[in-house]
This record gives sequence, structure tokens and C-alpha cells, in this order.
Amino acid sequence: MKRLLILAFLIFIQLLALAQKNQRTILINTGPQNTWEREFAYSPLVYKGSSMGFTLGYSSVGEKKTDEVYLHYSRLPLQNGFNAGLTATHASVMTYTFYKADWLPEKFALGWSNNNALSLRNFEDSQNFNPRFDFHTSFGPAMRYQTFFGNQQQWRFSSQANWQVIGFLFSASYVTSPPDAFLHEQSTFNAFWQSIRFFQPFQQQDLGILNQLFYQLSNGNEIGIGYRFHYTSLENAQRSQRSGGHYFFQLNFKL
Amino acid sequence: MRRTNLLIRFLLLTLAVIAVGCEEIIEPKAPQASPNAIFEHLWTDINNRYSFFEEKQIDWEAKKDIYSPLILEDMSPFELFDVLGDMLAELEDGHVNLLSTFNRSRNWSWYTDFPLFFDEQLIYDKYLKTDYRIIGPLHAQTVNDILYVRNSSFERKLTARHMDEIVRLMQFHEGLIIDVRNNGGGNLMNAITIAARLTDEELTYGRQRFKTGPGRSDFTPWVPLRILPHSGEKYLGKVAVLTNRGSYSTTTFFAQMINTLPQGRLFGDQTGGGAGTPAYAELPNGWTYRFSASQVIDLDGTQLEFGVQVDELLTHPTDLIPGRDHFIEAAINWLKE
Repeated sequence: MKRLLILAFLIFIQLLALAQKNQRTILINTGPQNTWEREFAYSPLVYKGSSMGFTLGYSSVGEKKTDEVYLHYSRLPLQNGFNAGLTATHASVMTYTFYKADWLPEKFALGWSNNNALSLRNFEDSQNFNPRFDFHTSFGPAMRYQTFFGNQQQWRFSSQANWQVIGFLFSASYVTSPPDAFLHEQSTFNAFWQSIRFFQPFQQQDLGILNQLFYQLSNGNEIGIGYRFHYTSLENAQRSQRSGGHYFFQLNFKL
Repeated sequence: MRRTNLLIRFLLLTLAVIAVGCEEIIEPKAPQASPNAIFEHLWTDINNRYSFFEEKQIDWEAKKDIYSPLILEDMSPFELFDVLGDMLAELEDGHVNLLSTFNRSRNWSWYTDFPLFFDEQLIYDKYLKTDYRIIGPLHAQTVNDILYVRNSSFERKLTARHMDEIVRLMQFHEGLIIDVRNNGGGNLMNAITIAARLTDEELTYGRQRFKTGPGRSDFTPWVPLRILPHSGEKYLGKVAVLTNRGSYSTTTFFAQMINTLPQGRLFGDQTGGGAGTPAYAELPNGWTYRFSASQVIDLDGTQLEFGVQVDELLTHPTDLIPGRDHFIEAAINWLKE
């Protein structure tokens, strides 16, 4: 019950943040994504590879506050050093809320972020208990640096980082693909509830960096390039780690 | 001057945006792949996750004492493979293997140490002949008004349509024999597809549990294994299933399903077992291995890892009938009763 209340409170705060209405933008980006992944339930070896990543996003920028939501998806064929294959699927909903405090330098903003990330791992040489998976929803502080430059301030560079410190984790079990509670005869809700674990600071780790450079067109829309980095290390019944770098071309459409 | 500053600033920022491959900087180093590291990894993972140490009364620590001194830092991959394969063979489990590009270790004593009472040539010459029906993975023939069905593997997909045809054929036959001798297993769903046509009520045929931690008793609670009846046409008459020591893994599950059917009867020799669902894993040198990570018991609490006993044991030399398959003949006699 305590965990449910904490989750409800955090979601409520998130919804409040998104309810603010200001300068709104829809963004879309795509580009190559490099990823490595390691799942200790199956192997101590690192699997890595590249594919395309896709992001759909939304931002709402106010005088003192900025909200951003990024929906990211990628499906990657990874290989270890011995050419064994792993198909990794990553999907996430990442939100940022930044505040411009008076005491901060003008180009900096502080805030918090929420990451809801799903990772599926299908090992091609494993005939049972595929896919291994984990899902976590977590919250933590975020910081942003943003600067405008050019004759008409038409260039914009921003760099933002997040560090997830608390939340919840739901992942594959010690041996099987579904968490243990799903193997018992009980309702799906009960099984899900029993499978949730705390995302604890320093035991679980999730952090990310997003660097972007944009050029503003005469109609107010922007085109740009960027690099999104993330690192995740989760410890539940087994440990899994992954990291990726997404290099992308992005279009921002003002609403 | 201002244009130059702008250009430099632009280039630096562009560089900052795209040239920071952080994911490569923090990529972990490859794990140690020395013979000792590989041995330790394999021994530890089996120690933590193998599911039958207590049931088989295996002292895994003692096995380490035996095999660890055989690991030498300068040994060849072939020598290392042999030592690791021998260590895994101590588990006497058909679901335990070490796989490399040059070999696959195994322990098949669960059937090689026993007579199989199965002559494939005789089956095809005397019973299936040349005009048998091929229904997906099943070979079917009428033998003395009984439908004899040979299923040599549960690997190939068995569909509802295949079973529709078997059920349709049963209108013209007095009984059904399913021969799963030397069937080494495959997909459990195929076994369920057959069993679901042989019952009109939900049946619990066993209980299963999975490892949840490194302790010897770290398991999930027992979970019932059930057969849900097929919603369409079914055959609810007598069924004889023929098994031997070569009936393994999914075939052991299938034999246990038949065991729970009131109109089912097992003939021949007990199955070879293999009730632990194998989990797969990888070593630091890229070799893979698999091992049993679960247990299944029947409704009386007996471990199916050691096989399902038959209703009519036909392993005594006096049971043999020259020129005939005595398992099939015994099944026909029962079905004709």
C-alpha cells in the first residue's frame, strides 16, 4: 500500500507538470543508435551493435518552466565477440521538467526527470525463457544548459542530463522470463504487484545526457542534430546493464 | 572577427553534440576467459541454478574438488572442453550439455544403459507398411481396426487440423495407440495439443516449480500443470501409449498426461525422464551450456525427472514375441478387450 501511495503521488506530480500550457513544440527525430548490453542471467559477455532509433517528443516552454516528453523506440541486432546474436528492443517514455531559478546563471535550469523504460532481450541461442526483460519507472534530478547564438540568435544549443535515483523496477526472474509471481495461480494484478521492486539509489543506476544543436527557420520551426546517451544498470533477481548513444537528425514543429 | 568566433563556437558545439560517444567509453571490458575463470563461472552457475542436486544426491562441492585440479592455465580448448563436459556429465541429466563449435558434451545414460524394445524397421514393415498416412509429424495406419499413430518427435509443429484428422479417423477405429518410443521430446505445446483432444474436462497432471535463487531450496511454490480440453471434436475412447527409456523430456510430460486420463494406459518401459526445463547460458569464451532449472512432480509427489512408470511393464524376456512388436500387440489386446 505504501508503494502504491508513493507511485500515485509521483504520477500526480508528473501530470500537474504536464498540464501547464506555454510555447508548445512537437519534435521527431531519427538516426543511428549504438548500443551495448549485458545480461548476467545469460552471459557475462557484452553484446553490441547498431541500428536506427526513433523519437517522438513534445515540449512546452514557459518563462520559468519547461516540460518535455520523449517517446523513444529502437530494435537492435546485437552480437557478442563470438558472433552470437541478441535482438534488443528498447522503448521508453522520458520526461523532463526544468525550472529557471533566479539564483541560477541565465543559461542553466534545474529540474527533475522521469524515465519509464522497457528493455527486451531475445538471445538467439537460448531456446527457453526468452525474452529476458526489465521495466523501470524512476525519478531523479535533471539539469540543463541552453544557449542561443548567431546574428539573430537563430542557433540554439542545449545540453541536459538526468540521474534517476528512486522508483520501481519490474523484471524477469532468476531463471524464467516472467517474474516468479506470474508463475503462481493468482490474478495478474497481484502477480504484478508482488513483482515490483524498489529502484534504489546506487543499487540501480540510470542516467542520461541529451545534447542538441538547432537552427531556427523563418517560420519558427527548427532543424537540428543531437546525441542522446543513456546508461542503465539494474539489479533484481539478476543484473542487467546497457548503454546506448543515439545520433539523430531532428525536426521541431511549433504548435 | 565576429564571424570567426561564431564559426569556432559552432564547430565546438557541433563537436560536443555528435562526437561524444559516451556509450563506447563506458563499455565494460570482456570478462576473463582463462581456463580457471571459465571453470569457476560454469561451476558456480550450475551450483546456483541447477535444480536436482538434492533429488540426485549430488555433492557439487565434491565435484569441484575432483575437477578443479584438472584445470591448467595452458591447457587447450579441447582439453578444457573435455574436463568441463565430464564435470557436467556427473549430473546424469539429458538436459545438461556444453556446446562449442567443435563438440557437444552429453550424458545419455538415461537410455543408453537400457534396452529400448524398439525396432523401427519392424514397425514400418509389419505395422505402418508403405501406405501409412502422414498427418503432419504423425504417421498413422490401421492395425486390426485400431489406429496406430507413430510420433517420433515433438519438435515439429502439430496443429489443430492434424488432430482434427486423427479424431475424424477414430470414427472408423476401435481404439487408439500412440507410439512415442525413442521420442526425445520437443515443444510441450505439441504434447498438450494431443492430450487436449483426449479429455472433456480440465485435468491437472503434475506440478512444477522453478529455481528462484542459489540456495538448494530456493524454488517458486508448486504450480499445477493442466490440460484444458479442446473446444472442438475430441476422442474420448481408450488410448494406449507406448513408451521406452528413449521417451524423454516433453515425451515424459506427455506420458504423465496420459497417466492422468481415466481411459489412458501406458505400455512398455518407463520413460527416460527429463522433467527439468533447460535454461541456457553462456561462458566467457563464447561456449554455451544448458541445465535443468525446474522440477516437476506427479500428483503423488514423485519426481518425473526419473521417468514415468508404465501401467503394463513389458521388459521381461518372456514378453517378447518373435517377428512382432510386443508393445503394440499388448496394446491391441487391451484395446480389444
